[in-house]
Amino acid sequence: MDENVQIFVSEAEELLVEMEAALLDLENRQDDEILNLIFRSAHTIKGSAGLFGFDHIISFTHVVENVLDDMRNCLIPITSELITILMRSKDHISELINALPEEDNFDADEEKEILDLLAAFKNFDSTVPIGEEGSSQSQEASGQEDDQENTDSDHYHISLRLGPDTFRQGFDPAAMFKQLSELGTLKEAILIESTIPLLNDIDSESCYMGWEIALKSQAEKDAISEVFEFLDGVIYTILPPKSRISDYQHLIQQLPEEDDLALGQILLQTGSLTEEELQQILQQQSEQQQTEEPGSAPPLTGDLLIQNKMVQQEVIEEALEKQKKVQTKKQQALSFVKVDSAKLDKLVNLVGELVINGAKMNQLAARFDNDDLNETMESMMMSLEEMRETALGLRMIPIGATFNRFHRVVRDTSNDLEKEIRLEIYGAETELDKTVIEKIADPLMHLVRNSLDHGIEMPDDRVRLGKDREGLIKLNAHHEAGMIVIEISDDGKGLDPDKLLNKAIEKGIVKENQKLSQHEIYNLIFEAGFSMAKEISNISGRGVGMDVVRRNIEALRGTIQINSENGVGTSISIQLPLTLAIIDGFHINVNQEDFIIPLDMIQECVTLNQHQKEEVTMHNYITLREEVLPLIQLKRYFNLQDDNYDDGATQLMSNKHENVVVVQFGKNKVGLTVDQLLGETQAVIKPMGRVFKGLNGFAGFTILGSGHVALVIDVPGLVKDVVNNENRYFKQVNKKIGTVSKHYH
Amino acid sequence: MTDKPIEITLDNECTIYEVSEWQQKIISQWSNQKQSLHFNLANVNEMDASFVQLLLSCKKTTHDRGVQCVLNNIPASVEERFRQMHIHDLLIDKTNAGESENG
Repeated sequence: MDENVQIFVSEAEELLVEMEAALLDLENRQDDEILNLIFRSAHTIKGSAGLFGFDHIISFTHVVENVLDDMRNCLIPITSELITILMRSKDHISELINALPEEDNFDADEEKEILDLLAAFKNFDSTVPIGEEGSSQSQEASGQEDDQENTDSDHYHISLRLGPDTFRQGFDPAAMFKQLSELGTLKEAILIESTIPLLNDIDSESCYMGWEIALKSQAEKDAISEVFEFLDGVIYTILPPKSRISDYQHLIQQLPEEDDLALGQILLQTGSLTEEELQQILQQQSEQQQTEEPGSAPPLTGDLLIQNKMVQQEVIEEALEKQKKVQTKKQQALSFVKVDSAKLDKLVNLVGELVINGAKMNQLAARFDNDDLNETMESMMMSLEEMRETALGLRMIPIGATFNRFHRVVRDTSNDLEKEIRLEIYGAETELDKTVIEKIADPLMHLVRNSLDHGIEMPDDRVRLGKDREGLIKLNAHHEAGMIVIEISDDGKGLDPDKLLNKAIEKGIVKENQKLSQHEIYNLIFEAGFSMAKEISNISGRGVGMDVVRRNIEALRGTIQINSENGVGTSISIQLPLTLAIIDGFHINVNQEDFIIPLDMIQECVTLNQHQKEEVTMHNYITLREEVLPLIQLKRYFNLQDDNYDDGATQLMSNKHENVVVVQFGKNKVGLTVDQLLGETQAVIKPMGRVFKGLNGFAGFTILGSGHVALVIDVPGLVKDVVNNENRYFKQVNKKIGTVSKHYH
Repeated sequence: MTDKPIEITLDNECTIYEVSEWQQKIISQWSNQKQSLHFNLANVNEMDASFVQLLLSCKKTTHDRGVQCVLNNIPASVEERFRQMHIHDLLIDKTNAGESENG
C-alpha cells in the first residue's frame, strides 16, 4: 500500500477510536463539545479520503456527517437508538478503510441497512431524547424556537447612515425597508434626526438620513448586508442578535483546526463579519498605523471590530480562542513524529547490542587499572543506561486506549444480554510495552466478555439478591513489584467451587476422589474444554478461550490468578513484565554457570548465617526476620552437580558463602540459593530457540560483557514449575504410602 | 401671543426634481420664523424620500424655533410612504392626525 494511504489509514483509525469513545460519552452526557468532536472526526476522515479519491468512503461518511450536522443543529434529537446506528456507521467506515486500497470489498447489505436507518432519522421529528424528556433540544427540533418570545436583544441591530448621493442615484429608502422586511420582521426603525440639517442649511438633494434598525431575522449577516452593499457612500454596521452570537461561537468552534487563519478570516468564514466590514477595518487599521509613532504596535483588529460595533466581544473572544487552539495543535503536531514501529524495534535492538558491547568494554577496561579510562567508561555506561531507558520508553504506551475499547463492548454486549452493566476504568495512564499491549488485548476481551456473560446477573436477579440493579465491571492497571498488574473484576455471582469441581469431574478433567484446593479449583477454568455455560452463546461459553488466555499471557512471561467469592464477584489478576526487550538484571553464578534474575523482582540478597545453613539441612526454607521463606535451590533444580556433589544440604553446609536472592512476584516471596552474587547488569533478552520451547523457568537468554551466555530466569515460571514438581512428588509419595499400607493390611 | 401660521400648499409631484425649488419657496414664505408652518398636502400625487427629508428638516427647524410644523390633508399614498420610511410618527402629530385624508 502507498505510504500516504497507510498514513491516512492510521490517522483514520485513530479518529474512529476517538469517535467511538465520544459516541459512548454522548450517550451519557449530551454535550456540544462531544458532538463537535464526533462531527470533526467524520469530517476529517471524509476530507482526507477526498485527497486520495476514495469516493465510496467520501459518500458514506458524507451521509453520516449530514446526520451529525443535523444533531448539532438540534434538528435530530440524540437517542440511544441513533447512537447505536452511528456506532454501526463508525464500524462500517472502519471496514471500508481497512479494505483499502480496494474500495468495493465491503458488506453491501450492512451499508444499505445503515443508510436506510440514517435516512429515517433525517426525517425524525418527535422522539424524546434519552434521559431528557421535554428538553430544550426537542422543543427546538419541533420548531418552537420561532414562536418563543425572544428577549429585546434577540434581533439584528443595524446602524445605517445613507451616503450623500443616495437620492441623486434614485435610491428609495422605502425599498430598502421593504427588502429588510422580506428577510424578517422589522421590529423598530428610528430615524437619526440629529444628522438632518435645518431648513436654511440643508442641501435638499443630498441625503442626510440614517436609521437605527431592529430586525428579527433568521437570515445570515451576509444576506442582510447585501441590502446595503450597492449603495455608494453608505455606512452601516450589523450587530447580530444574542442568539446569533452563540451561533457564531458555535460556527467558530466547528472550523477545522488545520488552517491557521487570521482573526478577520475566521469571522468572515463564519459570517459574523462581512467582507466589506473587514475591508473597512483593515483600512482603518492601516490609517491608524500611519498616524502612530514609528515602531508602535498597530491597533488590533479585534479591538477595532468591537469599537466599531461590527462584531460582539463574545464572538471575538471565541475566534481568538480558536486561533489559540489551532496554534497549540500545530505546535503539538510539530512536537510529535510518527515513526514506523519496525524502526523503533530496530533501534531498541541496536541499543541492546550497544549495551552488550558496553559491558564487554567495561570488563576490558577494568583490566588496565587506568583511572582516566575507568572514569570515561563509567561516564559512557551511565549514558548507555540513559540511552537504553529512552529507547525502551519509546515503545511504552498507555494501556488506556486498549481499556477504552471495552466501553463499546460492555455497552453492546449488555444490551444484547438485556443486562445493565457499568464499566469503570482505573490506571488508564499506566504504560506498557507496545508489543505487550497488542498481545494482551484479545485475552482481556475474552475475560471481560466472560464477566459480562457469566459473571454479572440479570438486573431483576441482582435486585432480588439485594445488589444494585446495575452490575459493575472494573478494569484496573497498576505497577507492582516490577510488573504491571491488570485486574478485571466484577460484582457478579462469583465462582462456585463445588459446581466447578463437579463440572471438571463430569468432563473427566479431574478424578472423582481427587482433592483440590480452592485455588486449584478456580484454576480449572483455564483447562482446555472447560466451560460452565449452560448454553453456548455468541459471546462466550464454548470452553475454548480461557486456556488460550492463559497460554497467551504466559507467552508474555506473565501469570494469571483468580480470586472469587461465591455470590460476591470475581477478580482476575494478570501480572505482566514491563517490557520484553531489555531489562535491568542481577547477575548470579551457580556452579560456574551464569544466570540473570530480573532486578525488579529482587527484594534483597542474603548471605546465610550458620543457623540458617543448618535450617536448610532440615527443610527447604529459612526463617528470615521471623518469617518463613521457602527456598529453591537452583543448583539442585537445574541439576548442576559438580564433582564434589553430595546433595544440596551437604553442599550448603560445606560452602562458606552461600547466598539467597529473595524474589517477589505478586504477593509471593521465594529465596533462590546461589553461589555467587555478581551484581547488576543490563540484559538484552533474546528469545530461546524453538528447540527449548518446552523449557520452563527461563524467559530467554542474554550475552554478557564477557561474551558468555547467561540464561534469564523467569521467576513466576520457575516457582510455578517447582510447585508443580513438588505436587507431583507428594502425590507419588502418597500413592506409595497408600500401596504400602494396603500391603500391610 | 403666537403669529398666524404660514400655509403652504404642496401639489402634484414632490420629488428630488422639485425639492430645491420648494426649499427656497418655503424659506422665502417663512421669513418670520416665529410663525408655525402648515403644509397642505391634499394635492400631492407623489412624494419621494428627498422631499420627505425636506419636510423633516422643516419639522426640526420649527421645533428649534419653538413653533409647529403641521401637515394637513395627507393623501393615503403619502402617509403610506411615511410609514414605509418609518418616519410617520415624526411627521404626523397625533393631535392633527384627524386632518389626514384617512381620518
